[in-house]
Amino acid sequence: MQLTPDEQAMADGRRGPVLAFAIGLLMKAGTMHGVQRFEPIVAAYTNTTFATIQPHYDLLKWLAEEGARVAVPTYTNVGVDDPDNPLLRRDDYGKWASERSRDLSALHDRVGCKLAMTCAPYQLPGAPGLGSQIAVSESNAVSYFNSVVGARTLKYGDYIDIAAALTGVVPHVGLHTDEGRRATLHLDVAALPEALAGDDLSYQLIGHAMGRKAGMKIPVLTGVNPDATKENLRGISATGASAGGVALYHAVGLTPEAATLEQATGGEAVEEGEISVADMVAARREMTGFESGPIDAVVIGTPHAPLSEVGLLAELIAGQMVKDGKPFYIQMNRFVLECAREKGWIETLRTAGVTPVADTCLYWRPVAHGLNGRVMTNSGKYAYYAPGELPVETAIASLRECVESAVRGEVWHDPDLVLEA
Amino acid sequence: MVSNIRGSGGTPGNLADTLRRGCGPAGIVIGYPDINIMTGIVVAERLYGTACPMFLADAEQRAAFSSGAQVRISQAGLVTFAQRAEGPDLFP
Repeated sequence: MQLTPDEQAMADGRRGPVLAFAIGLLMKAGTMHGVQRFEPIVAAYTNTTFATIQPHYDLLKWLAEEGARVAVPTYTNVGVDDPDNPLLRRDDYGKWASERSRDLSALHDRVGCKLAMTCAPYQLPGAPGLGSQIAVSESNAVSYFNSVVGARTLKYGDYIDIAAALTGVVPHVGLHTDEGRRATLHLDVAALPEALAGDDLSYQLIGHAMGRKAGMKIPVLTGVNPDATKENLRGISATGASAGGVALYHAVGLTPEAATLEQATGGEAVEEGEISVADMVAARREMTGFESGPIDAVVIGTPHAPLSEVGLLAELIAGQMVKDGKPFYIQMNRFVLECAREKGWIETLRTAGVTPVADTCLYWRPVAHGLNGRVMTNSGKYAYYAPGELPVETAIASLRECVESAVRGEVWHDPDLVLEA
Repeated sequence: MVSNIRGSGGTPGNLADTLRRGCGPAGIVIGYPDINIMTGIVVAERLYGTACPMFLADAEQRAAFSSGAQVRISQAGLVTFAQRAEGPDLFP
């Protein structure tokens, strides 16, 4: 690879062992893909707070002891501990893991990371914009930044993200380049009944079906409801990345690099396909572990809920009560939590029996209090991952269905949202 | 041996942890260069002094594996690939 004098100094060890190791790791990654040069980044988002495994400690401890500091603003993903909810993970394993998570966060703080503790850093003020080169690991954030914001990142992973943060560069390849961002698969989305098309649930289904169909391709969608908000597009990002491996999608007329189909594909002919009503019915079935009967808990906010979703939940549940004190969680980042608190929504939620949770993720072990059995969620990502991580079955539903089911204590279906192939 | 892995950002940490515990793979044969696997290997080497060579096998080589081909990976990372038809192991 061709290195700048500064990069060469890092590689030669003239700037210490940490930077030599970090740029060495990035050079190996670049060489694997025949990359010629590095690209400077403006921000990094690291995943290494997420799991409390020993190599994360050992690497971060080494960085801290060497006095290493990140070169660009670097934000952390979630951890285990929510200081506002000390009883969230209350068994011995939960307490132990929460303490370890705090220690791991402290090490990130020592190397200069901002402890954002969120999987939705794109909601934070000052987040990068269109065309910004960044390094992101969390899959939904990768897809949201690439697709909805138009910032540029590969789907990085543990340690490469930290290496990018320390050096301030990434290999110039793939989604960092103009050519690497062009759509290679066109999926036309079928029209949906009006009520469903206007509900966030539809975007969870589209994203899931897109993830299943896209493989390693970059999809461009046509036919998506033109009224879709960025919060709705977050649903496509998250489920496209969980059910598949989509790191970038375009939606014509909605995402910033797809004013037209031609712009998204670069004018090239691409593979044609569709997301039919039958595909969306299949997506819903895949994310539905139970269709009726009692429920044990509700989880909202995977990825962390945007302010609009917190507000909608407060509006839907105000004046009602979750039945029998069953757990009803909504996860969000601390910035959104404070905004929601100022609006009075957090008090409304608590009064109704909803527990706001920050800084962590509830499909991750240790099992949060009460997350056993039958869990309803409006998140395709949660519906997909939680049964593999926790002792739960999940069922996807609209936010309104989640609220009504929680109040009744059993599954309630909105007749307006029935979808048949 | 795998043809590919589903891209997970948690792969490097978990691979490094299995290498640390001594219950990780002795080597990895994979169909394409995977950055996350490489990273797990390199970080474990830096932190724990472990070794885990990664061997890339193209589609033709991978097809041969299913008919009984064998790979030997030495401690120093030397990879030997051989086709076995019938008979005893090539690397007894």
